[in-house]
Amino acid sequence: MADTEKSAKEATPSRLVHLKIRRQDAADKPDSKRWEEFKVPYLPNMNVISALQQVQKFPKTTDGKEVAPVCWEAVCLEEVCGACSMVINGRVRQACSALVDQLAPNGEPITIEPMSKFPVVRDLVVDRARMFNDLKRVKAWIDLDGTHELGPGPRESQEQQQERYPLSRCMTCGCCLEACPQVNDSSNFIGPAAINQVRLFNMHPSGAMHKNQRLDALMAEGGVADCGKAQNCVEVCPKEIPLVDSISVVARDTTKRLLFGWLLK
Amino acid sequence: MSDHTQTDSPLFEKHRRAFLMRKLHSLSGVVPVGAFMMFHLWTNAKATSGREPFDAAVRDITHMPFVVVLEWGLILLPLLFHALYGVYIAMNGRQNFTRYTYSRNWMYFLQRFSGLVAFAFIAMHLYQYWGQKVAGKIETSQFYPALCESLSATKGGVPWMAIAYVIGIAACAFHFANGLWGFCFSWGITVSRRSQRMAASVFGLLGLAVFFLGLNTVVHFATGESVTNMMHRGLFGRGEAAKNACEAYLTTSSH
Ligand code: HEM
Ligand code: SF4
Ligand code: SF4
Ligand code: FES
Repeated sequence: MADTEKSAKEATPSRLVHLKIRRQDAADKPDSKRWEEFKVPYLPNMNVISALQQVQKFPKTTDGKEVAPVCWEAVCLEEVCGACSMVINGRVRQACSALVDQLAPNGEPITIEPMSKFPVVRDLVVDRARMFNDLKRVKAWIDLDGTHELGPGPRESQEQQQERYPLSRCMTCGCCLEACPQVNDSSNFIGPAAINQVRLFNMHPSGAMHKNQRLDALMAEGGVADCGKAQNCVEVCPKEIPLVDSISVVARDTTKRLLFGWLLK
Repeated sequence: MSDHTQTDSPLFEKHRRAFLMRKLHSLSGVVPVGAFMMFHLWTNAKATSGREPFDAAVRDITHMPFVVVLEWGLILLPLLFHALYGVYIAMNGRQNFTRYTYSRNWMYFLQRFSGLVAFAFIAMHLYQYWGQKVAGKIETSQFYPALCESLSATKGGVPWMAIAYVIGIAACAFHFANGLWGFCFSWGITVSRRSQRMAASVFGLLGLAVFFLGLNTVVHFATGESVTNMMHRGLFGRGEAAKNACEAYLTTSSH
């Protein structure tokens, strides 16, 4: 029974998904950069992660070579953790929400590359540590700890909560940095994600107490003034965060700080 | 990254320099450089009403008090700073408009590209007139005929210099208009995408107006006609009236 089923499958090869994957064996082996192609069986509602899982099961290239399985990162599989950012068909996005039916309705090859603005760890895995360092740089938190009881914090209006909530959805996925032409190896531009966090925490009634520290961090080299206004960030952000609004709001605050904090104080 | 909360630290401290330079670059594009460009194109447009008003305007400018200080302090040095720092900024971006084909990303590219075209054009233009003036090779009173000659010249039937001027002015007009849009963004004047879209329309119209102002003058020097006159008399028909100073000059000087 099982045998006939198997041979029937082989006789009529069901739809295959064609993947072209950019590989690199290790961070310190840039020479091992290469493309490898795989064809894996199609499954209903497949996304790029489930296609990569098939590669992991049978890591054999189209020219019949057995290779090490492709490495990638994914956690939540529902576009909330930010781990699976990749450059798919030339554009950065989350692999878990990239549906094969939409990418390759007629079996076109799907190209998958690691993000280019972060150091590659292996294959599709990159190191996004700089984003976390950037969050530290701008103090993207609210200071609460102290030596004595501070009492309840100030209340926040419903209206402001509504404005702040979308800003808080950032999952540090790095898509916005990948698409930003100003983020590259010859600049130290902090990028839109951290700038948006400055807006988020500066709006918070308690966070606002450290407003100027955050602004000063963005008025240093590689700060908000390095934005070139290309607005790719807002187009690619999977969480639809109004990044461009955030950049210009922060730009307004830094302008005020320049005039009334630096010049006239 | 160290902690930068030095409200009391000197304005020009090292870690503040990059931000100040960016702000100065942005500001210099609007005033004085952009403001001067508008003034300059407006003054030049006087040529379309003939040599007299043009020469008078040139005379007025040459006789301004402290003209050399104004020339260097308000035009040349700010322009040089804006242009050189602009090239540096342009070199630090990595274009990706083939991958991310959004209109704003194209504008990002065009802002840098038009800046480089403007650089080449302004260098040529300065050499042709300001440079020759400083070198004592041309009197300012001779600018009008020199412009007529240069802009109406053709090679193989093609008015190369006039075309170069139209391209140069187009680049400057675009760069200025899109630059104003960017200025409003980076100084926090337009803080929502809606207001940014509105600003884009307003500055788009301004850019077109600036371009038309310059184009009209180039066409005047190249053909003795002005675009407005041509349109008045029903597209590009020459002949009848409107023999203006430039045409007269061209016929007398065995062209
Ligand atoms: C001559 C060569 C020039 C070069 C290489 C140049 C380069 C640049 C660059 C790269 C930017 C973009 C800055 C950014 O978005 O971060 C810029 C902005 C700007 N430029 Fe120029 N530019 C030149 C000439 C001019 C001229 C002649 C004008 C005046 C008409 C002008 C007006 C502006 C304005 C208003 C901005 C916007 C400032 C901002 O982004 O906040 N530029 N320029
Ligand atoms: S708007 Fe600024 S931050 Fe966003 S992609 Fe463009 S340059 Fe980068
Ligand atoms: S702002 Fe958007 S694109 Fe950028 S890291 Fe956060 S979620 Fe990702
Ligand atoms: S796996 Fe979490 S966003 Fe894709």
